[in-house]
Amino acid sequence: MSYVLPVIFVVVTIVTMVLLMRRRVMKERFTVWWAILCVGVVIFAVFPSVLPFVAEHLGFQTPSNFVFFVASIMLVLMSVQFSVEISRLEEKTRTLAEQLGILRTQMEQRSSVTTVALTPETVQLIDNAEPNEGSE
Amino acid sequence: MLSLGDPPARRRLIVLPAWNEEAAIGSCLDEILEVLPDWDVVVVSDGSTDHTSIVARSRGVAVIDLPFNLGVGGARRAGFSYAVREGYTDVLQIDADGQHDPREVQHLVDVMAETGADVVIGARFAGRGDYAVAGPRKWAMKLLSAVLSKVCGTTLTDTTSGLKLCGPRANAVYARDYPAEYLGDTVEALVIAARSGLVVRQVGVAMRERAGGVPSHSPLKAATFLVRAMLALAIALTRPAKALEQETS
Repeated sequence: MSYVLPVIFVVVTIVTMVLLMRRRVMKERFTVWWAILCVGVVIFAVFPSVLPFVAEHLGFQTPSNFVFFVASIMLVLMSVQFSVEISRLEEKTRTLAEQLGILRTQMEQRSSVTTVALTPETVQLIDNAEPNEGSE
Repeated sequence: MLSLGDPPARRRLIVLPAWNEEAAIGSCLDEILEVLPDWDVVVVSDGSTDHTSIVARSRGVAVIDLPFNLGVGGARRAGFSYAVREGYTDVLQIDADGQHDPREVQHLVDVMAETGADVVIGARFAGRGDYAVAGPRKWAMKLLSAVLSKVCGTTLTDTTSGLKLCGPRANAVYARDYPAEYLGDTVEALVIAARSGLVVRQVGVAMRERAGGVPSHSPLKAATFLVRAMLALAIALTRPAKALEQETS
């Protein structure tokens, strides 16, 4: 019965991940970490003697130290992954912004269409013209 | 390379990155249009929240309005991208703060014609003009110059200059791969040039005092500049060739 709590944790995590993926608010590649975590938790919960055994053989004085160590490594790796993803997104956004600006300029030059120069006043007009409907 | 005899075949563009420069951009443009009538001008308004865009449009030049601020590197890359798409052969980078005298541009054009260089830098410390910096910032600039001179295979004395003339080969490279980080747009851009096999040369130009703003001389800022410059340089030099290709594909 000692492993009821871990199993509940695993079930809740898996259900949450599946729900998030179904709603397409999270990509699969970000769920890999949580899947690895769930596998680890299940193993240590079902076979309670494994954790002290592994911890001792890896040179940890107490099993909890081993758990904290692995947890912090995972968190570090995840933040590195996020940093990489954010940098990529920033680069893509940057390229899109550049190309958008160029396209607008070229459109003006080639047709009689004139777009409005971006100034504090026009930005306010544009913002007011489009009430925020998309969210929720 | 085209000979000096057929200038009409060359299409020349001045790229002027501007971020909230409504005070300086008008007079700057007037001077450029008067001194360099053969050049087209595009102002890249880098997410300006003032009237930069309107002032620039009132002078009849092309304006690229970036939807938000990308930093000077992003604005310059947009300029290169625009130049390549519009078929310009020569692209001149110039700052909108009035520090660069348009009358000096002819020196850059002459050097490019003489040497067949792909990138010509207008350098502040090459004998002409009386622009000077001191202290740690000077050491940092000297160190940058020494390393980048070696990388580019030519003597460079002012690697952070914003006045640059680029030929068609350089435009093609920079339209795809122009670093956006702080110092990347000057230091790393030169490394990219050297690694892409572009020929870099410099020519001394006289600079004026900046129209607005005072250059900082605080030792802390200079030290930060040194560290960031070294970091940018180290990263640029050790970047694997593969990463370059991937980005450009």
